Amino acid sequence: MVCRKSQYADVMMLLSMVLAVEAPDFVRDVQPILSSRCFACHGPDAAAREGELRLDVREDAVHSAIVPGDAAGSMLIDRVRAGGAKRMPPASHSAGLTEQEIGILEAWINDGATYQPHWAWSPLAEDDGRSIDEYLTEGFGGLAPNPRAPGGVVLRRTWLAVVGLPPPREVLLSFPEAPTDEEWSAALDEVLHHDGFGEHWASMWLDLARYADTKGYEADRARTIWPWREWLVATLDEDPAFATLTEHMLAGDLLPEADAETRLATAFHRNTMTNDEGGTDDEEHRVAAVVDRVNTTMQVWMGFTASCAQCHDHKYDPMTQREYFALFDVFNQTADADRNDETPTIDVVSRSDPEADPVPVPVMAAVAEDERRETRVQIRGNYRDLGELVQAGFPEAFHAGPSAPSRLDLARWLCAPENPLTPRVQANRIWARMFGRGLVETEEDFGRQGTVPTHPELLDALAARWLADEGRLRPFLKRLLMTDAWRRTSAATPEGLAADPRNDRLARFPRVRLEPEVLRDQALAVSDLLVRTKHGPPVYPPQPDGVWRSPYNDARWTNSTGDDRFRRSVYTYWKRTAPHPTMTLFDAPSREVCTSRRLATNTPLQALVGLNDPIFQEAALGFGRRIQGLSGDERAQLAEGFRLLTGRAPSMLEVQRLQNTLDQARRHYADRPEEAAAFVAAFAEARRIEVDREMSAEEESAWALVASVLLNLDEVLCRG
Amino acid sequence: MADSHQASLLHSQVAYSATRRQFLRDAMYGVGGLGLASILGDDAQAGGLDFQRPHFTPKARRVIYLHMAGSPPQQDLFDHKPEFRKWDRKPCPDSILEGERFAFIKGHPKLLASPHQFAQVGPQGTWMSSLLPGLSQEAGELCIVRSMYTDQFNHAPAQLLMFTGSARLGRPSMGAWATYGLGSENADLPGYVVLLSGANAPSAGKSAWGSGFLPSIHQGVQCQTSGPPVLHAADPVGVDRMLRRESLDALAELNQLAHHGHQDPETLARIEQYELAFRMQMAAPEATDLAEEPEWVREDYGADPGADGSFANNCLLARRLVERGTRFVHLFDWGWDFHGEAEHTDIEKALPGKARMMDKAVSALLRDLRSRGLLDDTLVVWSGEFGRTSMNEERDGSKFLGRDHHPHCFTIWMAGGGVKAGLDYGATDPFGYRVEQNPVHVHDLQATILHLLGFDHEQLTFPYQGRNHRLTDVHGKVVRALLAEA
Repeated sequence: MVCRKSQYADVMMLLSMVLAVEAPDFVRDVQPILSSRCFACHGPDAAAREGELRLDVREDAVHSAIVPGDAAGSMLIDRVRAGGAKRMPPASHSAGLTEQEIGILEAWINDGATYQPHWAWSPLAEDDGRSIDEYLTEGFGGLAPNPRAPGGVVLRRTWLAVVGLPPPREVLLSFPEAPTDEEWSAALDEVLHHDGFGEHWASMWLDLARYADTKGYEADRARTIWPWREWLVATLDEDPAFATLTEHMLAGDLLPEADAETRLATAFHRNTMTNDEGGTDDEEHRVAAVVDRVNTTMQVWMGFTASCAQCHDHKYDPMTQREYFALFDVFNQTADADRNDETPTIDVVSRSDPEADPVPVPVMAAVAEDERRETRVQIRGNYRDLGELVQAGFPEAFHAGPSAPSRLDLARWLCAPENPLTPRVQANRIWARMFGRGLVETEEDFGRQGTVPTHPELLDALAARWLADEGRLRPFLKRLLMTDAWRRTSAATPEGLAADPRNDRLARFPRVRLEPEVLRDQALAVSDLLVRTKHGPPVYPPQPDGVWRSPYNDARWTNSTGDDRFRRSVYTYWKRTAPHPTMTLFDAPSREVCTSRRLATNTPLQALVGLNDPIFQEAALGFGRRIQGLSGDERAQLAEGFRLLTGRAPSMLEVQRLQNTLDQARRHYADRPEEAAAFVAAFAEARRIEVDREMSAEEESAWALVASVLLNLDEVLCRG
Repeated sequence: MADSHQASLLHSQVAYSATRRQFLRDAMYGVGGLGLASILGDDAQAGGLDFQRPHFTPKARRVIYLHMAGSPPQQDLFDHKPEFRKWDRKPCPDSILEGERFAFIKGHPKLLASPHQFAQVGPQGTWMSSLLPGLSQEAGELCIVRSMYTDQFNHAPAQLLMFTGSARLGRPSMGAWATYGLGSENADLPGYVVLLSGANAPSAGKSAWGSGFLPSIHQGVQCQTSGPPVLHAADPVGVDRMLRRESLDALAELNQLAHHGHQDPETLARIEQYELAFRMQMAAPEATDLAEEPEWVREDYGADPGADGSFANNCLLARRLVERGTRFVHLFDWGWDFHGEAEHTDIEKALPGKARMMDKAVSALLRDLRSRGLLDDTLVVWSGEFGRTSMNEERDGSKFLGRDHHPHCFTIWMAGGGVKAGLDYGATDPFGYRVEQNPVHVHDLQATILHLLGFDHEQLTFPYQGRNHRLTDVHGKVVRALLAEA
């Protein structure tokens, strides 16, 4: 899991680095130490700087603390080795440096103490045309990569990762076990152009956009912004160039060719929370929304933790507080102001129903030229404690852009060819969605405190190819999906686990727990319950009583019946203070703020959802009925049910185990027909398919129990 | 893989036992448990567990946090101002109003002395309202802090600040930090349980017990106030325990077969989590079944098992949970926002009923914990998210008495778990408007609670977005005067 980290492995890696590498690499070995141990007081933040010593800039460091070539004569080494009050970092800040860390610093100083610019802000390395697999296998050492996984297994993982749905039965069953590259390529073109594509990738963007159907804060009242979700799904289906997507979302109202669609796109930044509570200062929450827009923009596009510079100069990365407010000024010129009516809005007709009445949707709109707001530095981030006047502008450490930029200039600056961060961050994000973890694990932070890439050259090659694809998802995804790395088995060996416990090198395919949206959609799809209607207002699949609470207003959750109960999860109503519990129990964020990655957990509450949640019980009933209706004898039916869910044929033993469960459930219900009747009756409300009168309640219940086991298999909850 | 080979695996537990050790580590990650950590020792660290250890011996092994959502008026319960009575219903001095901003008060407000009687109680002779007869009896147990202050004067941000250390969303809550640090002591129950009462959820919503950027296994498990206490804990109608056991056996065996092929440790963890879920299905209903309590105990609390999710029920539930090893039980009781805009929020008419209900349950909880020997190492904390004004709100000319939100001072108390019993700490000015002596910020309270749990609040950290984050952000200091052993 992403959140676990083997400290033991880290120590071993560190040791091997010290022993095997003569001169430590500044970016990989030295900078992380300086950044985490020294920069808080000796880094970019001028106000926090102690003893006028700055260690993030070589000229300053060699002026007093470091004598290049002479570790023993360098004050830096003297102080980190010192005891008592002289020791750096001081005990009040953190523990002392380890011997290994000091050893790295000594070796680096003796080698000349060369600094390199932080990798993420350096220009992209030249793409030398090597294949992705070639970049990956270089690091294998003695590790042999796994063989190809069976065709059905790769097909399943691909469908789940690309459209969030399992492959349809006829596609799966007719797919060869060992497809040729041509066959594989053709299969990919089919899945990449499936019309569930946009709905699936929308989930990622909804997290980034902190999309919800409510306004947030205490009252968390309803907000009508789902037409923007419709726009997002449709746009991702179209797969425009990333620069176009960016311009539309950030500044679609300012384009010369602005129209209703590009204005609707700007609702991206109207997903900020608004506060209706009595006595709140509208200006305070307007400012909070602008702050959120700066932070979200910098995180989504640049992987930069701008929020650190809101209250003081950034302590690790090059952004002063003044520069923060220069970006703030760009976003400070919109007409919205935390009003209850959410103006400015535009009227939008749902894509699902052209006859429907238009609904007002909050969008971005520039203030009139003579109403431009004055932006001042907010001292310690307090909007009422104002400092010097600032003009819109870009941080000096990054590439240049026009002076006094507008939001449109900002959008173009983010996607400028000389900006290496946006392509690195986007390529890494897509890699992470496919392989479960980014080459840079901290997708949200490419700064000095973020993790360094496991494969820096590959990351740059991917960024270059993403640029060559104009940042369109489909061609870039196809590059990843055609690799050997994508098509390997996920089997680990004790040797493989020991050599690469975190699977950084991808010699085996990484097993990934499915997102809640995909888990539910998969269950609905295999049970023939899924309703593929696209777009429209949010829907209300069943959730337990008592989860939904709404202080100060009467909003209620009424379980959808009929088709809306079985729509894809992307359409589920999202209340920030009480999202659907099946989503949150499987690690979906609340969407109160921008979220770059979800950390997958493994909890007992998830087991209770999988076994007992009506959503999954209904799916079990539907899936059981479906398996029972397949051709062949019972074993063949069970085997095909297994295959529909996992992509592979089960072993005889696995079939036998399922058969045992079926037999046992049958005997159980034969003795207790009233339990079977009760089981089946409980689903009356949910039933879409007419009851098969040929099937007794006892049979239906027994098959549902086996189906529930299948739906809860670890192999089904994961893609591997 | 040959089926015959699989068959031998299926019918023996060899593979299972061989991975048992790894398995325990995963289980421990899930349910925590100091016992396991000490058995496995450094192996647990090598195995990749982000498992914390106390920095020093904890005084409190578990916490019951009683949050009065909406914030009770300190002037009417704990912060007695006899001199203030002469100002009752008189215009507020300008010096107080300068630079102030209120949620609802408009114009020039009048001061409001408490209409309730106070008496000196307990060995320390602390002043307490007549609305709190039960707590008056327990005064010798309490460590009362009258000098709390906060930065926030609206419910949601103030609750977030109180429980996550930041008024903005997205940070882990106090309870999540506690289980991140200490795990749980009961393998059959979650380590952090949240119990709600009153008409609504607290304003800050689930963020008040969220896990933020900590692994979400640490998030508070919100017991349902109606229906089953743990979501989906009840088996579906028509699926009994026998059948459920059969599905879990099938799942475990099929998952083990698959694990033999791919060797992913998460799969073994998942088997264990399904088993824990099965145990929780049994343990949680038992732990939460108030009908098991003798009638006199229920009467002492004012609990009624038939009524859904009352505060009294939750207090009794909290005792049952900590008794069974739950690390952090967090109660939120909605309905303390006494603005006086209507009769049901009137200080004179509505507060007494609410206060007495709370008083009865909380004093019973203290007695109950003490009689079972649990109070010594169970920390009980009682608070709102901010204070209330010394002025009558008179919203839109309301004739009812009420107080507006007030961040500058409020009263909280703690008991048990290593705090100094029978202590009065801090004081406000004669108007009860600002702290005059020994100010305690919300971050200081958090630092002190973590200290009682055995953690240095500056060292209990989690790396996220480029720096090590902690509950107290970059603030907070332990208030040593509140500790039984400084």
